[in-house]
Amino acid sequence: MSFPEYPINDYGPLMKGIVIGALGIFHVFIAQFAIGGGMLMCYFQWLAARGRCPPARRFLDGYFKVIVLVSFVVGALTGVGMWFTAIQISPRTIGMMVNEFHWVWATEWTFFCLEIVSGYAFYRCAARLTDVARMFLLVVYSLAAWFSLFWINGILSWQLTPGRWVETRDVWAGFFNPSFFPSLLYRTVTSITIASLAACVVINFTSGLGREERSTLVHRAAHFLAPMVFMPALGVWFLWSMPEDSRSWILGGSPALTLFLGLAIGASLLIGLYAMFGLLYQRLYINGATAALLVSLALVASAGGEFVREGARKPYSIREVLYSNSIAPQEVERMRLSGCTLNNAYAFRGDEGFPNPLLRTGSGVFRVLCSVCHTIDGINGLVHLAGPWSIDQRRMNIAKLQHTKTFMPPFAGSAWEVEAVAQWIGWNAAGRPETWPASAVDNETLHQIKQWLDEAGTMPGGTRSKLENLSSSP
Amino acid sequence: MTYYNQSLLGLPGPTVFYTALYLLALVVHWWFVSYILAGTVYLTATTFGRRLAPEDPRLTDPIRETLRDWMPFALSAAITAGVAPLLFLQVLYKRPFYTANLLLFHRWMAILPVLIVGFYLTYLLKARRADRWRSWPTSVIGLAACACFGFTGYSWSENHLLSLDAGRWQQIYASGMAWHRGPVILPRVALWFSLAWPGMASLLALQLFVMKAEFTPHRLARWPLAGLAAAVVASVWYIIADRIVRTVAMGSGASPWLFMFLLGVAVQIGAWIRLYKGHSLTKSLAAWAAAGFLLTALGIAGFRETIRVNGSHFRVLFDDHAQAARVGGFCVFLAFAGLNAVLIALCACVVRRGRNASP
Repeated sequence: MSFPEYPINDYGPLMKGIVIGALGIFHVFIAQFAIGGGMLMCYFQWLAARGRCPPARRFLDGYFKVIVLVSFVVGALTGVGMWFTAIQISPRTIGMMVNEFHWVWATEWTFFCLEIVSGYAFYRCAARLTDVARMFLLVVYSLAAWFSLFWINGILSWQLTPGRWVETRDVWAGFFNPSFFPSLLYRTVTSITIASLAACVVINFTSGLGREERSTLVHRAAHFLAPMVFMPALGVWFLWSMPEDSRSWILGGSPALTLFLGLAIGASLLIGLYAMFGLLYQRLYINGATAALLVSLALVASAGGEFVREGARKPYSIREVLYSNSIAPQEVERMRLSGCTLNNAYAFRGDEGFPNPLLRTGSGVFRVLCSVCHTIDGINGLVHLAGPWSIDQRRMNIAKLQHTKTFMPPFAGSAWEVEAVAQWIGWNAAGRPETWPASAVDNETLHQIKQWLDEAGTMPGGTRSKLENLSSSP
Repeated sequence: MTYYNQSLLGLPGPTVFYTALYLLALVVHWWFVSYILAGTVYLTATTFGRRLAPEDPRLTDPIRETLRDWMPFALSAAITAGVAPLLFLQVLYKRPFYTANLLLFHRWMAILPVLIVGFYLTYLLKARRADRWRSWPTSVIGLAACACFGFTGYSWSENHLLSLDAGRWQQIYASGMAWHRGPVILPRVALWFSLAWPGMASLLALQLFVMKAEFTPHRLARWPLAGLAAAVVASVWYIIADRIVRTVAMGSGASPWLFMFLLGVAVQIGAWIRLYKGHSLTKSLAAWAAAGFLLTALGIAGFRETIRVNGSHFRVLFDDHAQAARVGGFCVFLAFAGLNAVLIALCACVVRRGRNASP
């Protein structure tokens, strides 16, 4: 399979991963609110029908309006936005996902249709319907919403743990992968939690309710926080379903990922403790401000969790199949010979005013191999990471990239391109001067870089045996 | 490439299969989009610059009120229905579609916030309290909603045409310009916009029939008739504007689609003229108008795909389609599509029964 070339856009100081991560977190949060919201509304409808909670019906109609106005609008469009953003960041990754799972996505789409129809039917007609009819629509809506999670969860967890799919290429082997069930259950509990906290906000802003009624509703909604007790066990199950190297980065190997994990755990713990002792045990009342604060904490926890899930895939965007920079492992060897910029139609963008062709090549290498995760001098900027290194350090560390940092992919270019990107980083670190002394590379330097590239090999780093082999080599 | 006679049915099996699914999904999506596009323009035009007095008949006009009431749902339906063609588009035309997305970059991505704004504006248009506002806020809201949906439609056309223009990709990338122009874009947008009127009217006619609403038939019929007349003019403009479109239109590959298009237009004209002359809206008239529109939309969509498959870079995608067809999951999709269709029908029954039972 030839390497498909796509235009590569420049995001300036903004890391591409941040862009898709931010939209993803926002979308996931809203979508999970809608999923948990369906279940919560079924509970309140049941309470209303049984006469166990008189204000339940009024709350229910107000809550559903929030779901329609937030989830049906922003949730739906950010869902489509995720596709478009994924195309912008890594067209090859999303293309492969569509190829492998288009029928799963099509199945998910049938649940979207069901969700929209049942949701709007309730929204428009609930006031005129019997309790049985209302319950029917809410149960259908909830099932449809949860099944949309079920389907997309299979695709997303496949990216991290493709399981037996790697050998069999069977769609169901990929779908029901090792992290499928822990991820699905964890997300289900998260959805219920978010819905419960959002309910506390809505209850406080629903007009016409007295303090007693609000208090009753808050404590009913708080019942949906109880499943949070399962979160630690589910989280551990999810961690253990991950590949060993991914787990090691989260648990200390990568400070950023460990920090995000800590953020997710810390925020979840605060919510959990407040829910267990404050709301469920002491039956405290929760006002709008506190409820909004707890929802914000839930957003922080979701953000941390999503960053960890995304980051744990490194150096892959689809484990074993595609590196983060959209290069397949089997293509690295060929690209070591042919280079990554020479025949790439989109490596260069017009006359960018470089002092010499070597630096121009360096900018092309950055664009093709690095720009998906790094910026020049913004977030995760190469100037900050590698600028202070000496030129020889840069040459060696880039040539042996997968061993310099085990969550980096192997360098997929020629020795000349290693030199070019090393010089280009130095040039940027020096403030992009008008002239730059290094414009040609001597054979000795190229030979040394080639030797480092050969020593590093073309396989990903990170496994003990490979590192041992490397250290034992002369 | 000098011959443009490639017929869609003459393509390899997997390509035909995915193209058929894509076309069907696109037509359904386009039906809801028509409702949004023409409906918003209608709502804006009928109240533009005027504050409606409480006794103004427009406030009780079933055409206007139905459009206003259903606009947010129609947009939701349009977006949801749009997911399916977007999925099959990626299966069929991955590289050209992705490349056009990337080249248009932030200009293309802008459709998302624009659509979110447009979505909330439809809720504002629907709000009862908007009737009490002065004329300019409602006019501004209407115009802004039209601009949002118009921009989205224009951007899709731009994206589609750029995806066909492989020869210019590198040049556009090097120049850094995030837009695409060409002689076809305006006639193409004009054609789709003209066809939005019969699309909106046919869906609205079905709604009005089901709701047993009382309305003046010719007031509804004049809009699709005007739209169809404009569509004929725009289609001639479209064919004249570009050599490739012209050549494909004259080739045998496009004939069935053009026939379908013209037949659909004729059926619609027949149905709408009867209504315009004062015939009441019957089930069969509403059904004929809808069938005519779907035929027209399928014809023009098929013609659009015929142009695409006659492009020089299309054949290299055949292997991808064959590979995609070997992936499992189709039976599961069919099973759940059937199950969910039954559940959707049940939801409709539950609502209908509840409505009939309520006093």
